[in-house]
Amino acid sequence: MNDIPIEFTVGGVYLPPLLVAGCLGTLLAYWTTHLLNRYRLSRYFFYPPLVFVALAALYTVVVGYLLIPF
Amino acid sequence: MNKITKVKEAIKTGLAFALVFGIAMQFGWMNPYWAGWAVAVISLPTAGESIRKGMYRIVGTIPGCLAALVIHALAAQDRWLFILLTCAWMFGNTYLMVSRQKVSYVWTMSAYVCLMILLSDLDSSANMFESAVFRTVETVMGVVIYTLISVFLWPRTNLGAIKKSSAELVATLNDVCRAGRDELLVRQSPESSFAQLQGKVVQQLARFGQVLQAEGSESYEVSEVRHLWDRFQELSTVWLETAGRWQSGFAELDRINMRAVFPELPAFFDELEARSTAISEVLTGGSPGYSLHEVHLEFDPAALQRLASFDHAAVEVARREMLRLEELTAEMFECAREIQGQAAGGEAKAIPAPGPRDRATRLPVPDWDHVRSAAFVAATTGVGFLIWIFFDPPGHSGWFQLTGTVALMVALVPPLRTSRLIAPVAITSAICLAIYVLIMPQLSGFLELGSLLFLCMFLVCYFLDGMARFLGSMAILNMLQIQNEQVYSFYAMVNVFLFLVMGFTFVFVMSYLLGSPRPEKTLLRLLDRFFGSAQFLMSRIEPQPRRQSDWERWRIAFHQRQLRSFPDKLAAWSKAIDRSLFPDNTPEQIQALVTSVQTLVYRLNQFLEVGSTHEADRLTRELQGDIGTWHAGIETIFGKWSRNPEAEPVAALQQRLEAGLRRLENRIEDVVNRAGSDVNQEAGTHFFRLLGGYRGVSEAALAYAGAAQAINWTQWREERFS
Repeated sequence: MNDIPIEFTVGGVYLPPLLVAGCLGTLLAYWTTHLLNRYRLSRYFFYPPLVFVALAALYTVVVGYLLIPF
Repeated sequence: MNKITKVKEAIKTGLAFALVFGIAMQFGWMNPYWAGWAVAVISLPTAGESIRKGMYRIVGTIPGCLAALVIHALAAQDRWLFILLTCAWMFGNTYLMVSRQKVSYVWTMSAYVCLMILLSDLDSSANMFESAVFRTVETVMGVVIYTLISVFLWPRTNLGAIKKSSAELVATLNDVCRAGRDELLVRQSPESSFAQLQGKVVQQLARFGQVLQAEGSESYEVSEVRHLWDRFQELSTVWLETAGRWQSGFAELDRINMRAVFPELPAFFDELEARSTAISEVLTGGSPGYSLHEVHLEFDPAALQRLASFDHAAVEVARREMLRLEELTAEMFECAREIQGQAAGGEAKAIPAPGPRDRATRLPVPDWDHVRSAAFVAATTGVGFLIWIFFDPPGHSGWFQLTGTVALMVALVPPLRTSRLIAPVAITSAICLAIYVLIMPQLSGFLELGSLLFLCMFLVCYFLDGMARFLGSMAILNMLQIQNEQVYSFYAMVNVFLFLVMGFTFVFVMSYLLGSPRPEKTLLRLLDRFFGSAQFLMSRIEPQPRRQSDWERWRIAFHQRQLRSFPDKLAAWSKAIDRSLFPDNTPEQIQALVTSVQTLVYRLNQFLEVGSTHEADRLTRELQGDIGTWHAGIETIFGKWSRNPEAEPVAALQQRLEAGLRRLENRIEDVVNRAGSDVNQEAGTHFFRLLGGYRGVSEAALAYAGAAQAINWTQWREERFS
């Protein structure tokens, strides 16, 4: 796996890899919390907003490690 | 509004929008979109409403500009003092914005314009005064242009609306009275429940307030007697509250033959109905030839003798409210005659408002939720400023300006969920970004640009409404970035797009700062505070009145204000609860809970009104022990509910209440027999009112327990991701 950060280009506009990984991480966190809400598992968390932020950060790191190095 | 009218209104707004840009660009004025904002915001269905909002916009712009200049003069070189002063300005203005409903928009503008001018030119403070002047001039120009267009092109006026609205209001008030009469005299359930009629009156009062402001702005005849119309509105509001208190005691009158106790009751209701009809006729310009008759509501002593003590107490409480209704209808009739010039205006009497006596504290008594809203806006502005100076993400100074403005919007409409605005902001901004990138570079003159602006605004006004329309206008004004020397920068605009989405997300995150913004959680918090205030006020009723300190008086006034405001807040938040997430709690059950809280407020106020004027007479002294136990019981229940709103099951509570009533009934009989003729009429009346107050609070608490039992509280308490 290549660990060198690579910028994304959209029509000649360069996007930093952290932005893309962050967006993906947030989307994955949103999807996870949606599932947790659906199966009433969210009630086991003390403070869901903080859990959402933590999940987004975790997913961003995982995406950065596995897919988009930043 | 039908389709043709909608097209006409959209054309008017689009035309004014394009025109103000044309004028501002022709004269080379700074930031032409400032004038565009004025048009987008004041374009309302009728000319009167637009004129009023336009005036408020101008009036609010001036203090906002001045405050910005003063803050900059004092703290140009000290960032911490700068943010402290700005947050203090935002705090004060937000508090005024949420607490002064009638001129709320003035304070919104004052706060918003201050933020706008403070950072209008970051490179130098030399142009700040120029920015403030241009902001004011362009706002005035936008207001004038839209007003001229709305007056001359397909004008829609409010003239006559006030007469219609006030007559409708009086008719519904009469329906409330008639429903009460049917229930008391005929024992027949009314066609519409009191809660339905009350809801209708509240809507009509709100509409009346809007019409009054709008017609007052375009008609000299109305503005000349504006103070009388305001008084009429105030009298109607107090009438509704009094009727609510009267109606809340009907359950206790169920077993009593009211016609026997008050032989004059049918004549009393006939007189009230005649007055309502006369008020409607006077307000619509007629001359009814009616004159006020004095009506009495005397007891039949024989029928009264036959009543049990608690029934006597209930009758005493109901009589007082009915007499107050009579007094208010007489005041309304006189006020209507003065408005129409049929009576000479004497000195206005004080409105006989129901509720506990004013404790006359000299200190200001704030509303806790208003303070929270103000703190939220100040904190959001402050944190936005810190993000800008320490991280400087895309949007730069916008983190200070836009986030403060969005926070103002949230403070104005607390049940508004910022999370639900993020997607509309992203979509409307993306559409406008596409227009900026693909269409705008092809334009070569103002005719083409003006046509584009007209078309954009026309589509927004025709297809969108309310908040969506505001967001659409915001996207046009922020994303198209029209300047005299136009340059195109895709990079800059993508950053603006990202910033708008991030800014709204940030405000959503900040809304968690003062507790969860979820409606069901807020409802739980409100209920906790409601019972906390109720317990505090009950605990301040003492058998022997003593001199209270200023601090004590202030606390009592604070909790009384809280208590009065809770039912409206609960009603607003209960409507925002997502029913699909909580299928166990139906809208009817939630409405029953809100209604029971409203009833409890009415009964508590009735009780506090008697309790606060409490002078221990002989009867009260003799029953001190029993009444004290009852008082302590109610206080304990409120204390438990303030920690858990379902703490007392209804069946156990009902048993306790019935046993307590029976015990006290026997004791009262003993004491009254022993006292004989030693008790004068005034002391007796006061005693029975006090007794009625205790019973009323207990019955209302029982009704609340019943409504609370039907709610699935566990579901509301469960944590969820927003």
